[in-house]
Amino acid sequence: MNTATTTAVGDLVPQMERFSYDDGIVRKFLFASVIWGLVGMLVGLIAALQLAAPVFNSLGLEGNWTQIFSFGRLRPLHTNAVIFAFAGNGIFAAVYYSSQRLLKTRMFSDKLSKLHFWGWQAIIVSAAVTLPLGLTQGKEYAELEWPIDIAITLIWVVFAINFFGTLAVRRERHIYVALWFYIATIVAIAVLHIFNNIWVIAGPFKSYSVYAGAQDAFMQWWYGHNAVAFFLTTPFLGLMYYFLPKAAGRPVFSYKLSILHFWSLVFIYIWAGPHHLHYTAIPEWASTLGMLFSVILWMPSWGGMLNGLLTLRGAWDRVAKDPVLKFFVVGITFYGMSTFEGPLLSIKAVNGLSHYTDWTIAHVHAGALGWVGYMVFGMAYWLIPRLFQTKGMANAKWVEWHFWLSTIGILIYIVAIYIAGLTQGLMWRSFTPEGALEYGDFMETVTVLIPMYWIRVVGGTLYLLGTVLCLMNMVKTWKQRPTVYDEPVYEAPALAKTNPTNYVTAPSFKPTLSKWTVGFLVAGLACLGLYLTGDEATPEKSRMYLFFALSFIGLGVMMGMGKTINYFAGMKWHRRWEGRPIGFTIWVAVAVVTASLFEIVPTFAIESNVKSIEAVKPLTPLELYGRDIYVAEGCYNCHSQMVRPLHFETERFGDYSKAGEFVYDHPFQWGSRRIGPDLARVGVRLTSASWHVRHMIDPRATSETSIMPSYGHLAEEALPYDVIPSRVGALKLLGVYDQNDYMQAAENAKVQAAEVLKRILAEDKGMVFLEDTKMLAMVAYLLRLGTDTAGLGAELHNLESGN
Amino acid sequence: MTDSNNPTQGQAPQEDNLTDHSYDGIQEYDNPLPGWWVAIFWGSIVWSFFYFGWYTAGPGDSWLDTFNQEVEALAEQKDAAAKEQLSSLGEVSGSAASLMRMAANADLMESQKALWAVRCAVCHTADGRGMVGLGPNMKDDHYLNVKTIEDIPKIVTEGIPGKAMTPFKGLLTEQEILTISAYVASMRGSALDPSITMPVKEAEGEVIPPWSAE
Repeated sequence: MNTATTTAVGDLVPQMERFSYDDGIVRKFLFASVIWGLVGMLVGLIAALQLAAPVFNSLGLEGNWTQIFSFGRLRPLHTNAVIFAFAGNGIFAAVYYSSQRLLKTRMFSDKLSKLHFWGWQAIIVSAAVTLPLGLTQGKEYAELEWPIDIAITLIWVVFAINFFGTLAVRRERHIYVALWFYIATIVAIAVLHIFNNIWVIAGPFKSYSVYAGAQDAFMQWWYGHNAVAFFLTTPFLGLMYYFLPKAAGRPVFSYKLSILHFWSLVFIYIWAGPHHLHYTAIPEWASTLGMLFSVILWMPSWGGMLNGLLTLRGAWDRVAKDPVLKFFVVGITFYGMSTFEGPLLSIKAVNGLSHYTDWTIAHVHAGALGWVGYMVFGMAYWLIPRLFQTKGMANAKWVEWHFWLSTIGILIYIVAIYIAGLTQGLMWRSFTPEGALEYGDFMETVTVLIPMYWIRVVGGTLYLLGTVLCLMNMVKTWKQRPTVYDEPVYEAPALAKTNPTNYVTAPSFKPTLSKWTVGFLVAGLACLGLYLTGDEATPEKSRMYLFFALSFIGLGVMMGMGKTINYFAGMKWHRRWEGRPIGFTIWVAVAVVTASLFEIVPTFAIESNVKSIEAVKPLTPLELYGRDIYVAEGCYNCHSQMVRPLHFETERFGDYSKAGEFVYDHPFQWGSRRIGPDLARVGVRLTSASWHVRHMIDPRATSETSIMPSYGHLAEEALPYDVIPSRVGALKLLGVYDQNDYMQAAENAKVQAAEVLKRILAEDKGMVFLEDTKMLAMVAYLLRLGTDTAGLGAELHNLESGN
Repeated sequence: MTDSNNPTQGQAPQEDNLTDHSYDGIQEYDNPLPGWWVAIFWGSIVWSFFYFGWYTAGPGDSWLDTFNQEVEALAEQKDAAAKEQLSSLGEVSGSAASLMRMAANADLMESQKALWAVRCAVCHTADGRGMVGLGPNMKDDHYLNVKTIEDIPKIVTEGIPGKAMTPFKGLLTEQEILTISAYVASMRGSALDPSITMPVKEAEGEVIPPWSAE
């Protein structure tokens, strides 16, 4: 494919090489993206229906196998399908199409391209099978079990080799900004995926995270937040930087802005993860850092939006006419909106209201439907005629319909869900004049949302219809393809072996000390001196000195850096980097890893971050199996196990949660959304065993308006005592259990199951049918929750405040 | 700015400096960073130093400080409200006389609905009709474990060992146990809430004499 020809002129003209592009792989990825998008959105629509009317949890079908459709199992399928199948395949289509052209070369290896494509589709299919079966790690967006995790790692390596191989054989000296973003994506996702998925194996499709409790939460949201950053943001910015100027025929607004917002995004995003854990049992300084970095992230994010929208200067008249540009403009606008809302939501006081409510759901859908979806569709409508070599889309009207249906769909969806989120958040914190919770019955705060949930169904349906039109149009256009695709051959000179040195040299970098820098540093050191020599009797005053010391020194360093930034703005140094992709990649990796280490290491290293509580003991083997069921059923999708130190929350759910209560929790189950009440202390609040049984079998029997799925199948399925030792054995490796626990696990579980059954029968002698069923494990676990620390109240608070 | 050939119209893009970059036909302008962008970016960084210093090393309240203040304020609010409600009711205790005085006070009983909703409705239903297989009906004259009104706070405190009733000692304050017990007593003989369609729990236990202070 790369035939070298020598021109007659000889040495003076560089040797020309001929090559063609592999568009077949792009066609595959694009089709996969739209088809999986449809599947993922359909599953999302079913999940939305399930919240509006719980009958949809079994899809109206009978039988003890219909639990595969229940919300707790479908919601992870929805999120995984949309993120990794719809967005994922869309990203790959963008990368494969644009990289070849930006680098003037065919992909490094057609074989690897195919392996990447089919491997990724196999992963998606295995996700679609295992998640409904309840095979899950129980960590959001990282649910897939260990064999699939390994497959993802391998296929990602295939992708990386193929991509970096293509960089190596490029015929374009400098790499364009779109490629920087692809590099960041490949590097960061590899790091995130591997470090959040370190587990011990407990069975063919069962593993436990090696991290526990607060540390697991920290890892998970370092991952979860940065999956948004490096799977749903950076690759789509790369997509934007290629397809938008192509479609608009306009130069990119600002090269400087590209550089600055790229590096600041890559470095700052990583730190922002803890904003998902405000007010939870993590150290407050970590949460504060997460918030500050999220706020700082606002402008780097908007840098991308500006470079997108301002590139359209002089082309706005075409936006109204060209559907591709219309999709891009709306997509980028949603990006701007979401990246303003993100920092807003990360502010602690706002987060206290928004966390656990639908506000978060509205936020992510503005991002996913608006930004991710519209960038994929905009790209699709630009690519389809080019890939299938037709004159245009088969049906131009459908494109218009798609645009308007989905735009109205998004607006209906998010407006309804914003209202739902605010309503519920405000109801939770509302008190009567006597100081009692105004909406003491949690269900009141759920039933009021049901009309909003129906409106969401309408909005989601419209968006889905748009996607159906897109797929139909795509197929119709594909049918008009030529019998044989034309594969144009291009010519370009090979890259010279050595990097040219004729970069305009930047002004040499001399760190200068301005008056301001010196002034701030001196003032800071003076305050530090006052702090160090301060009188211990006045800790308040002493802390003030420390505060001023840190602030002044920080400002001094910043002022010094201001000069450095001026030097950076020269940008010639960056141009040189762009000619050296390996070095560039290393710097991206350094930025990602450094920020990660700064964020993660302290919480692991400093023992005092997790104060152990003597009363907290590991679960019994039976309770552990019950917890496994809790994870498998996806209970964490609707129930938190984390009471925040907010008075309206402790009034409702009991004392706030302490990090020391979760030291044996592999994985943590703090949750992120309260569609149902918090369960951290449910074993203290609800001590009736038979209540739990009735509620699990038919939630409507105990809470008339409950929207929880029924878990009757737990009362029918046999409790597999012989599996329990392997679970205990795996956690033994992590130090939760000892050899003795392991040896007696099955026997111990049997004895406790009999006790639980006895307790249930004492309350309700009709429940003999529960003998040796999974229900006993589930009830045992629920009754245990929160009981270890019950009654320790004051003692715990002293521990927490360090007394 | 529709006519890009006319340089007099607004910011005509062709006035910007183009770099010599070209990738697959894509060019880049060498435009400077927008001033407001730089200002907000630096501003947010500078503000972060102050914020972090103030709340981590400085005098800013930690979230536990804020929480403790909230809890204290709420306790005062509750105390004040209770004092006002209970001031006319004389001695407040688990005695039959005191419980009956409270049960007869409509305002006090109205205010107990919120507590009932948080703690009791889960097994006895929002209007106290009971729940099949679970909490007994509070509206009829049949009682399983109650002989006199004074038994109610004892059961709320200790639960019924071996049965579903949760001991609320530690979950509720002593005063809350007394007022919610009075509320339970006041439910006897009251009407069903027609908006609730759940079945009414069948009568259980013995019919006991009406509440009396004797």
